[in-house]
Amino acid sequence: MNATDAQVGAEAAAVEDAAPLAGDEWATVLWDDPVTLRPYVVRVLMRRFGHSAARADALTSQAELEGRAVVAHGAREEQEMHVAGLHADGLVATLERMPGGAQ
Amino acid sequence: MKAWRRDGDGAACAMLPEEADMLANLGRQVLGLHRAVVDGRAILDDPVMRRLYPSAYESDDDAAEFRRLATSDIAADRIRTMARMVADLETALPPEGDEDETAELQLTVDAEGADAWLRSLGEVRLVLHVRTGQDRGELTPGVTDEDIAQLKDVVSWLGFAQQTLLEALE
Repeated sequence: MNATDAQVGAEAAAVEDAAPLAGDEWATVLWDDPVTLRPYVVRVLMRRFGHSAARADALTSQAELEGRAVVAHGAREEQEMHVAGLHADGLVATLERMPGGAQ
Repeated sequence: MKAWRRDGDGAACAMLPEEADMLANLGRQVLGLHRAVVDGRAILDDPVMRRLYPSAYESDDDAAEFRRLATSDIAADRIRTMARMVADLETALPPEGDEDETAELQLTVDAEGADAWLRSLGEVRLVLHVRTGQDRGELTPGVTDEDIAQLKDVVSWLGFAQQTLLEALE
């Protein structure tokens, strides 16, 4: 991260603290799940979000390695539908406000 | 059971009546969990239920609101897919008293059925996995090491069934 990015990041954090804000951006976060078979997770991401096989595979790897991956983002109501769908598919997913998403 | 293979838009496999009977039984038990959620009588503070119905938000208030609005629909969606698998198994099983324990049953599912099976196999596997991984103190009294070992075999069997179904559909 360079100085400018750090500045933007700090500003975004400050703006976020000043919520509520218009144009909310919410993220659907997929969490690593050591039990569920990997190809099943990839298939769910492809079918539910229309991700390509490569993209779904990369997101699944990210969740495995980093513990979590943002698999979709947008309006809160839409992301809540995604999280409910992922829960119905047996995956662990949460919603969170995107950093700087309110700008 | 034998590995699933592609069959048109769906898939087909063969399994023994005792395997189909076991899976139907487990499926009915998981259906009971989801029905309890719909009826509002589920005990959600349980390791299995916490895994099947995880929090959607870090904040307790948001998580409770999501639960209030969405959990019943999630349970209903799962009931639909699990009931499909159980019905397919019940249809394939011979009538009571008419069993030939060595004759394999043929199971065929269309594309929609395959999706229902994929989800349901994973769900039953997840429930058993959480149950067998629990601290002994949290399990029903009287559960022995042998019971646990048997359940772990079932978890492996379910993994094989789901894995080969995924491969057949690729």
